[in-house]
Amino acid sequence: MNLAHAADLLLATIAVTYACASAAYFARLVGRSGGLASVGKPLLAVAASLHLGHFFLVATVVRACPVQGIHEATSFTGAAAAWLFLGASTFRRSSDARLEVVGAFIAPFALASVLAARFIGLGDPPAQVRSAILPIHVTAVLLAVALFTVASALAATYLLQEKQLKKKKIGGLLQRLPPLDVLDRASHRFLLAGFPLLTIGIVTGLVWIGRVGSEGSGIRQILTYAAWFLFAGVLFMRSAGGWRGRRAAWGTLLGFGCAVLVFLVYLARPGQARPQPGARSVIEPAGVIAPGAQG
Amino acid sequence: MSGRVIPMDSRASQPAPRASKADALEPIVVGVSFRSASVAVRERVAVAHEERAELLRILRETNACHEAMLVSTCNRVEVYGVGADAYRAIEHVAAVFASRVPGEDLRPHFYERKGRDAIHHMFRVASSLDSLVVGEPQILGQLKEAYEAAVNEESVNGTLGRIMHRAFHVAKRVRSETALGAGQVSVASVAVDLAKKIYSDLSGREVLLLGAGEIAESAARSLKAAGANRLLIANRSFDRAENLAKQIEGAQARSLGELPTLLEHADVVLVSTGSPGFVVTRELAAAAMKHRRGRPLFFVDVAVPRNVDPRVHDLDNCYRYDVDDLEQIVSEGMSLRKGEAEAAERLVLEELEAYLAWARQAEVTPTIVALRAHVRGTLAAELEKTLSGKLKHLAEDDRKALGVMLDAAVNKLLHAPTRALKGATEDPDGIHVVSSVRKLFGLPDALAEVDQAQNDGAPGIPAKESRH
Repeated sequence: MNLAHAADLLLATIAVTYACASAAYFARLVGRSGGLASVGKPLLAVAASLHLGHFFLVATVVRACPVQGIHEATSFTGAAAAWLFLGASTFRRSSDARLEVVGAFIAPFALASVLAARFIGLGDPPAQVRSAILPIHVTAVLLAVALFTVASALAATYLLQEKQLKKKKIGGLLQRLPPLDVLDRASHRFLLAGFPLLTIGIVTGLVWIGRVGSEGSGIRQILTYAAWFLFAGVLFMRSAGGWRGRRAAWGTLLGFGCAVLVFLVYLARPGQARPQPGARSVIEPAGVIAPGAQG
Repeated sequence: MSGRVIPMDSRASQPAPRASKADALEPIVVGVSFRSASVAVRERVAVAHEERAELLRILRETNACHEAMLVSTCNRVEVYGVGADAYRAIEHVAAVFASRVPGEDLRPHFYERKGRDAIHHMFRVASSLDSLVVGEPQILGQLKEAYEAAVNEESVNGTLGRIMHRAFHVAKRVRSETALGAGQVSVASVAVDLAKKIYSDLSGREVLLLGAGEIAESAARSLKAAGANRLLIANRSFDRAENLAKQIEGAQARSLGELPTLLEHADVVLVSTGSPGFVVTRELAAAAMKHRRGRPLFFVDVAVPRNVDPRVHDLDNCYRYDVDDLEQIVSEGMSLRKGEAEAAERLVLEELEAYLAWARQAEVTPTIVALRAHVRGTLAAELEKTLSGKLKHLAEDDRKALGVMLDAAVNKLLHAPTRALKGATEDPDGIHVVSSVRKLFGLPDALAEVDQAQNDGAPGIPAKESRH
């Protein structure tokens, strides 16, 4: 078995574990108890650990920066979101035990990030420019998006719970989901944590573009700014205009949607021929990125 | 529910202007409840406390209803009555209700019960088996209050009074012998549950109580017990608000005039005023929301007529639930308590049969006593007349012998009728035997004498009434 196949096998295992975690959280969301419904968290922890192990392998065995290419970055975002959520749901206050069900949004996202990284688009063109700014840019953006992922999962749960209360559906779902204020507050906190990172990411991205002398992809930049303005708007309106609850949740989801689109556009952008499976992870550590490829 | 009619008293067929011992009185129930009508209908027939005395007077104005009491809660508006002719009584009550809502036919929303079914209904209502939230304890208090109000208006005596006392007794048994009321979902606890879906932690929250309805008050107490540390009470009458505030630790009275400001700060608003219109309009709530900077506001409107505009629910971060909305929560908890409810239903039926048997017994025993007194008295009088006339010469021993003979003859003569009457207590239709005997022997006069003794032994009447 060569390295490429081993890497693919590991990714397949990670994907299957994420899928099982998604099913478990979903079972919990629809009111099952015991069995599958009780193992969502352990499964997600296993999947996220394997996922992290994957990056570790890439970094140590292959000796490549695990987040330099967009595919790895996408995959890394999923792992980071899973870890953030696991951390948040472990160090929660006891009254927020029902936050666990938010995993029904997080686990599928992590799965999607692995699948998207593996199956969408072409490989990274060889990097051409060395810079210290690039890792800062990538790390900031990835962490920001991971935080927004959790914020959006909480916002989606908020909207689900709010719908129950507005439609007066006093059923099991209402009982299983956390109270509105917990969801609203938690979503806001994750958004608040992610926003400065996104700002740093955009600023470093602009610096990078300036350095390599490229204007970057138009649509990608427009979507990035749209996401930034949406998040900024949500945060500003919340503190200045008392925007809470439904509007803030929709704003968060829209901003997140833009961020996801940036990734999708990036993943699917026309580029050079995609490397062999597994070999994708092997990025020239001292590689120079093509103008316009990053930003 | 249609059922056999068992006259509770069939001594005479002539109705009298007021209930007398000779009336054949049959219990009836006419009303609307959450089962038959929406809150929009209920609020139109609801009767305010101030109107109650007048309505009770109107109900007994004709001789159709000899006794009447009125139960008006957020879930039901019902008249319990007794009349010599059940159909006439029902028609009369329905007509009184219809006159309250002119130009609108609410009749399809009303249900009617008579005889056995009426008593069964009263027992079930008292036991909280017919409640929106089955097993909730408030209804018994409301029923006792309605009963006392009717007693004060002198519109309840004999028959209805006995049934109500028995109903209170049944409710007490249901509560102590089944778990129907244990770990109970009450309207109050449902309100607390919903509040906890909006606010994870009720501590530090402010509860505003508008009006002084019993359910809203108990919900306010529950919210306070769940951690809400500020309770403001506003009422049209500031004194009343202040009195209530004194009874609840940490509560403060406010004037209803401050409502716009109060809404800006409160987190949960419990509304139960007697106002016929909206106390909280959409505009008022919208204005308050502007100042709340997105903080959610939860209205629990347990008033009938409703006091919070339903459109308030459409406002962002505003939630409004009324009594009808609580029904869903009930059905949620229903399956858990189904077994208990079934046990309670059995208990109610058992008590119903016991009461009906007692009611028959209450007819039979005085009839037997009266029959014996009547026959023996007639013969003794005739014998006395003869002994002081034609048979004046008889010696003391002979007179005694004649007396013994007379007693033996009375015993033998009445043996079969007495057995038939005693058998009637076991037979649901036995009451016809009783009324036949009364008619054949012309007994009403003799009955009047034994009646008082009977009433004293009525079941379910506590020596001293316990107030709820």
